[in-house]
Amino acid sequence: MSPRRVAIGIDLGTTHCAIARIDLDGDHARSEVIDVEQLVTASSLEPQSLLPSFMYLPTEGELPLSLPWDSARSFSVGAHARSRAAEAPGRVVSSAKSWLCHPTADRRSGLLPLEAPEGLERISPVEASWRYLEHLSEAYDARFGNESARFSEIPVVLTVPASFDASARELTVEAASAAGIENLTLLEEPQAALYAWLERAGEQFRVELRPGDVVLVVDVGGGTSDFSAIAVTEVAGSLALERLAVGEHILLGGDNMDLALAHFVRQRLAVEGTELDSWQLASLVHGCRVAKERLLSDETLGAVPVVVPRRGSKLVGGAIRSELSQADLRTLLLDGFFPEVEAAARPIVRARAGLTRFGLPYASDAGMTRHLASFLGRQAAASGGRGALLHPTCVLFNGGVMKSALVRERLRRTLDGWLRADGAAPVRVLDGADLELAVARGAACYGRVREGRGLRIRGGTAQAHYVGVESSAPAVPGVEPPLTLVCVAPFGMEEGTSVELAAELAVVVGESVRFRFFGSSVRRQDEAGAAFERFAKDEIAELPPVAVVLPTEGRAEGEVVPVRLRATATEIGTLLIEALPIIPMKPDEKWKVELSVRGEPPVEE
Amino acid sequence: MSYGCPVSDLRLSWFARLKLAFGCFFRVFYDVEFASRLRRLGSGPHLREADDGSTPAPEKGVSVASVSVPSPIDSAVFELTGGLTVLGLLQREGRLVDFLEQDLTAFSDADVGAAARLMHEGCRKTLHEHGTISPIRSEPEDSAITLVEGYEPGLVKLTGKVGSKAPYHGTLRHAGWRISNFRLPTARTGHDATVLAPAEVEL
Repeated sequence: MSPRRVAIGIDLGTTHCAIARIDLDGDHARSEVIDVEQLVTASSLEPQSLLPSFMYLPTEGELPLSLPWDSARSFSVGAHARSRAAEAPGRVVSSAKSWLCHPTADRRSGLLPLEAPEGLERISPVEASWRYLEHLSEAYDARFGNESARFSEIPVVLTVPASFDASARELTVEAASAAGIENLTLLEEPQAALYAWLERAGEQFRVELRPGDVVLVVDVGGGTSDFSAIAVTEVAGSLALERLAVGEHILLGGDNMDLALAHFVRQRLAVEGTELDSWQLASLVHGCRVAKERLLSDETLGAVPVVVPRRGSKLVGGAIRSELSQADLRTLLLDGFFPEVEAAARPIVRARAGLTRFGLPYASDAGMTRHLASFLGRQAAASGGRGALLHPTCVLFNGGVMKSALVRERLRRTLDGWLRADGAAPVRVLDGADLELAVARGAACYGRVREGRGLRIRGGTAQAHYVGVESSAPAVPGVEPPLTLVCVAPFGMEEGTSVELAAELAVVVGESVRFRFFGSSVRRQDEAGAAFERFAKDEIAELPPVAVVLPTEGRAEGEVVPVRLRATATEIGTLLIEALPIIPMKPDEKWKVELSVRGEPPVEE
Repeated sequence: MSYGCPVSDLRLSWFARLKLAFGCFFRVFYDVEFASRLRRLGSGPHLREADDGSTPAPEKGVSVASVSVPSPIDSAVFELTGGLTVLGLLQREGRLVDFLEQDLTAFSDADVGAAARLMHEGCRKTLHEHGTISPIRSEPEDSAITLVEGYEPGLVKLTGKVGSKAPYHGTLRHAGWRISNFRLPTARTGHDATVLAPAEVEL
């Protein structure tokens, strides 16, 4: 009997990871979520469907943090690490994924935990991601090593936010490769959510989705939010799906909501004269989350008590008590995060202080609906419509926050208001997705789709990329030389295709030559080689610089060599940029242009 | 638990000991775990240690955890520590031991109620995460029911004027509870399950 052929889907989330698998053979394979064995305390193991994306770096005395497959482990990831986050925050790495797309930090260097105590070796955001993937892979092999191939040989589909730029994608691939994953493909999370919906709908999807439909995927995770628009079209008589547009990277999610509730209660307690320490605050956040879930699931509940217990071994008496009411929840959660705004509303950008503390670029506006309005407005042209905004006909919700019917209803009503004002019909809600596990499931399904089983979402690369070239101009003190942006990789490149620039760039042999690097998710008209100096600030974002090093071999050090750039959308889902010398010294001579090289040193306080 | 028997106060007959000796003789060859346990048993000073609920200390650096998921630990040790594990879980998530060990006399019902809510939320979550709780009888409580010949006596307790044989006509007073899919966390070998909650020191 030939071994069982499977594909694996991994949701590498900001706050949780999940893993699912699917059989590649047979006509009726369904994805199944695999429970992940993990430490829940320093000395006990439990399988759970989610692996919290936290890594704990213990003291010598706590070693080893044994796992069934590694008795000498020197760190832990998962539930135990997350529980240590409130107890010993300086030793816990969290939100590594958000650091992967940090515009200025060196994401391969030891950065985390930011608040690490002296003597603790920090790890890089890439290593943290690698450790989560390594754990998933080892837990899989420990459980299924006998019945299917080893994890490293199985095709793995790993999801990334649609808004991840080329360098964040490349770093994700680096982490996966360090974890021993050899057969890898990246997939955008909102697409994975739609694949999971398609699996669940089965043949029924042909009734629910018709040519001309545009599906808006609203994915609000624990730490980040992601929007995508996917069009349903008809090609040669059969349905086809095409990803039209993706949103910007927004560091805003469900955890912010729990924190907002906790800060509200904390302030109320402070007015009453009760101050909380950090342990009590963590306990309050937990209490608020529980209260939120109860209030959201039962609208008839007027208020729910929130109690912060005493810390010592005496539980009764001395507890700090407060409560959250249905009205508080509506004000803080619905009006705070999902305000009913006009379609023309845009996120408020707070001017940053001159010196900012080195940290994550959190969204400064918590209004999810304003971010959504901005996405639909910016992408108005994506579906070829003439309205002021992109007109979705269906909406698919994803992420734990969307479990709340109140939140879903608020979003739908706001969206319908915008559409009505813009002369379009209201949206239909695509129901039935498993909100927390859909991305992992959908990723597994995509493993089958890649083998030609099922409908594939097309659309190519989600961003256009540019290098910045300084024009030669007479130096004027205090004036930066004008910068010309040259498009190296246009929007929507299909995987496996390449484009080569006609323009030549000059690089110096033996030196690391840097270029400023830019991305845009709205400039879909620029072709490879398009060059311009003027652009609207909000349509192009600067990414970490790229660098090319030409080895001296056969050339004199310091010699200036003209090269052409070639961009390839790889099968894995990354962008490869190469420099090809105009006069090669050997056949097929080329050098890789390194993405995500070390950025400007971070601004410290 | 055949190998758990040679404890001093159990008087075994000569034939029983002979049978046990042969059983052990062969099992030593095919069961490595058993062999190493037997060796510890023979050399250890405290033969009854396991009866106190603590697990035998493993040799340093040796981890049984390298066997297989989901339950790499020894089944005998597992049985001994299982109840403690549940108690430890209920303390960790719901602070059950804190609650039970405190003298409630001086506290108001409001204070006790607030603590009970905390404990209820944590213990309930733990219970539901480790198994599925369902009533044994689906009829509403206080309704009339009939137990016919062949009912499972283990599932129903008869009270009141209990006759000598079925069918029994009566009133359902308590629907009963049963847990299915019960699973415990796997404890690391050498972990001391008698520690229900470690002391905490803030630095």
